[in-house]
Amino acid sequence: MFWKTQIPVFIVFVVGMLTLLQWFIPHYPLNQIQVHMTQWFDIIAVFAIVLGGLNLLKLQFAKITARQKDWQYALVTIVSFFVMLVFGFTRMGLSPDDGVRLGSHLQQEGSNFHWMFFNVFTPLSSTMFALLAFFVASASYRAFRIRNAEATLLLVAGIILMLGRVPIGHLLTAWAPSYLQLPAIQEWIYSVPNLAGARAIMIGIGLGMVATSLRFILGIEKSFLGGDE
Amino acid sequence: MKFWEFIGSLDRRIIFLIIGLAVFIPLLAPLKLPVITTPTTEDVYNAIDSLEAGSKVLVSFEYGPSTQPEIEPMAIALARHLFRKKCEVVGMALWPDGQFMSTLVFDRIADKEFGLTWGKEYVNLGFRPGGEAVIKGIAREFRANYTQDVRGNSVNDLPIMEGVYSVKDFDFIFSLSAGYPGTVEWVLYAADPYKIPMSSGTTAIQVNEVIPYVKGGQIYGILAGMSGAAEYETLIATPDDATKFMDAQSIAHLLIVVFIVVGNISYIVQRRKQN
Repeated sequence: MFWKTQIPVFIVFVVGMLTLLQWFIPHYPLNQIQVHMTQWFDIIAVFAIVLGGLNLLKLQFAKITARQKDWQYALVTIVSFFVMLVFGFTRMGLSPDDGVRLGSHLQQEGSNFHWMFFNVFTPLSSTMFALLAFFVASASYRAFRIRNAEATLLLVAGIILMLGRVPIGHLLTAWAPSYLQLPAIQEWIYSVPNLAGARAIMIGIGLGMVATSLRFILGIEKSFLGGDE
Repeated sequence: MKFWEFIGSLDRRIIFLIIGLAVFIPLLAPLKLPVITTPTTEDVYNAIDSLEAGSKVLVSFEYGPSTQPEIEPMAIALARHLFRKKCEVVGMALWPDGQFMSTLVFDRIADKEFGLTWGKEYVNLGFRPGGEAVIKGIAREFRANYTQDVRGNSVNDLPIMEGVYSVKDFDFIFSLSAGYPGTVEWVLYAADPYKIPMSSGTTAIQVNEVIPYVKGGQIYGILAGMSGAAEYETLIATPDDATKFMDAQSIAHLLIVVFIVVGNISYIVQRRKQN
């Protein structure tokens, strides 16, 4: 109990209070806390990458050994993981006397890592994103219905924004007075109702963050300890 | 009535095919629709254009291959404008794949198009993990976070880094952002607390999140998605990829609107029939 709960809560309290205080007392030694803590964060983030990698392997191996549905994809994930790991930590693809340092080789044309990034990862990533255009078109055809006043308002605003952001929107309403042209109306929607809504959401999020942070610092919220704490 | 029932239950593969053709045909046969600039893009252009020769500009690459078609055209146009103004450009990345994206832009524009010298007129410092912690870190001690560039040269040996010890030593920050960490974090942890002029280019979907900072005066304008890139290309009088892609985007958007209208007519007709 003491080691698993009280010590972590105490550490969170001390770190949270020190980080908070430096904004109110920006003088030595409190003003140095941010410098050191951001570096601690970097170091912890690096170890988190190792943990993430191990967790990925654990889950995928479990999938394969249990012959779960689509276990073959898990095999592809593990093979790809190790292939990229080897290419990342070696200078494979480059000749030994070209003078490119380990680390810089990731950006060097000819290295296997560089080849895999631009010829496998990039096209796969772009393809996944490009498919969205087709799904958006299909979804808008089937789901964007004027069922009530709110849905109609959303639909009209969506249509104005979609057309107002592209050159054809200007051409379609070029005959109208400038304030009634689609680009002008979409600019108004962005700058007035949208901005008001976005600011309200931001203020709400900000207040929520303050409340959650205080709950963590004061030890009321203990979900970060894991388990049933 | 049967016609509207048929339209209402149209196979999604037909929609995919129509959208595919609507995007593909304008790319092969451009319509050359005129690009009209908007005030937010003009604000970015004016902010960059007012920089003096020799100004140090920090450009952060926060996008990857999935959003490359949308953000890279604005990165290219921005780099052209900055190098024409003889600004000294320092690149960095908060996303791991942003390092590769920045290399593509610097290779094409700084190296091949302008023939500039690495380390003197531009440099690419690459990726550091940590997201906003990196921004907070370089806001205090730049060289504690970045000790070398992507080619392995020590930051202390680079002429362009002379006098740069924190982010405050830059005259301008530009964030090319497709999400988190990105423009919002730059405003919160660098531009606003240290009063450094900043501007941004984002994906169209992210504009909603960033626009409060633009309208609040914390960012000078915003390049909003592909259309923002096309407008910037128009302003620097060098039409490129974004201007070409706008034809395809125009037709695709128009077609989606047609789909919505037709889908709704079908919905209303069928609902009346049911009633």
